[in-house]
Amino acid sequence: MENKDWIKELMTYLYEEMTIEEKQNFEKILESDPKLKQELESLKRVRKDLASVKDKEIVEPMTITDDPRAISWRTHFGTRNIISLRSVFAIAASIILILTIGYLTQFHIQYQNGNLLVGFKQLAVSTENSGLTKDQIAKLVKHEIEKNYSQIENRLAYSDSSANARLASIESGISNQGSSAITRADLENYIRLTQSNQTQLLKDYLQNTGVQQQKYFETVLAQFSDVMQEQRKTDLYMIQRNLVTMKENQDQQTQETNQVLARLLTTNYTQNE
Amino acid sequence: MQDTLENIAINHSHSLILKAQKGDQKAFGKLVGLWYKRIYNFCLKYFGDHDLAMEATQKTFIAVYKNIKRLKDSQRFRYWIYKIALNQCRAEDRNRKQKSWYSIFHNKEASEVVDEFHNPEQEYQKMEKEEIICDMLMSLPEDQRVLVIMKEYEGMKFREIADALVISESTAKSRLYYGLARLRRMIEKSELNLNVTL
Repeated sequence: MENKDWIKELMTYLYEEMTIEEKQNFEKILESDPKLKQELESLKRVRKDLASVKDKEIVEPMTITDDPRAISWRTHFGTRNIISLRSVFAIAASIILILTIGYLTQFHIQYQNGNLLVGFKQLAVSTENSGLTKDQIAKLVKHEIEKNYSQIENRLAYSDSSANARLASIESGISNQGSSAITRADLENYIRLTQSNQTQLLKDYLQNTGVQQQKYFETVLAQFSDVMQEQRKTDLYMIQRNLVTMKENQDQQTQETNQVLARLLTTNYTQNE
Repeated sequence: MQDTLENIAINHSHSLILKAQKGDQKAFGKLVGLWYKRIYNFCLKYFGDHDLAMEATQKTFIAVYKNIKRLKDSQRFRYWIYKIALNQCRAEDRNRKQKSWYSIFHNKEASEVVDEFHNPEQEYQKMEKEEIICDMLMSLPEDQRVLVIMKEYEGMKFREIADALVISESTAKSRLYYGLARLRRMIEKSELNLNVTL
């Protein structure tokens, strides 16, 4: 349009913002000016083309304001409430997921006698064994060594009586055969001396061996106890890592569940609209 | 703007605005429910990009929440919220210039849109009429585009537009006319190219 003076009038008429009187006057001008009328018609066609762009459907997000109390959520079931359905669904889904995984893996957490045990299926280490302290192990070792000592003492007493019996039988044999160059008293002295020497030697040997064995066992068991403690620490660390991994997986699944729920809700809302 | 139930409710949300001004969270929630779609579509037509439109829409409602008590005349809520939305769109646009309307359908720059009709047969077959109009809308200068969106899609009066943009009614009418005239030339060009190819 050449005449810019008509622009404002034309726009007001096009968008029907004229008064009745203004409208009638402008329509008279239009009848007398075919160019202006043509301009108006072409603009109407543009408006018609613009009208082909429709509004897009959108669901407002859960939180609009930064005020935690003002969580504005429009439910997708036709009513508008101030509740967070998505959060409720997410929490419920997470609990069900955790319970299912726990049930399937037979997950156990036990706390007994100051020890925390975490594991799957049957716990590999019983509470009693895993709870042994260094002192308890040392006591057990001492008890075993004392028991061993008493057995050796019994054995020695038995050997002593057996040797006496054999000596008595030899004596009776000699007396039956009569006197000889070696007197009986000499023989008896010799045998007693030999026997006492042997007994003393055996006692010393066993005593030394017992002390050494005791020290050795104590060292070994103390080391064993340390290894056990280390092993427990390692196991607990691994269990902790597995729990963290499980938590991460669970978070990821929760996120995916949320996305699926959001998609479902959006679809539902769009269908309702 | 069509007289849908939602639009009628928007036009009669005076009591909700008053309640929200008094700090009624529930009323504010309902107000958001009524206006969210309108503001989102305004931002979507401004940017042509869903993500940017969502961002600007959310920021608009945060700004509305923070400032609603300052609104003296609740009757002016309509132009007031569009003014906030436009400011948020402009701020967002400055921050993220690289994104364009064309990204919805193609990974091409908006400035290339008008020149894309060199092979209109293929283009026309591929793109729906709505998409073509959107592309044309995006290729308008920002001041004209805002006028077209506010008038054509939001159904605002020239007086309201003038208030929101802080310009005179005459300027609003002129800008809208030039915007529509430019769109007309683009439409004619695309139709001409189509006829020549056919």
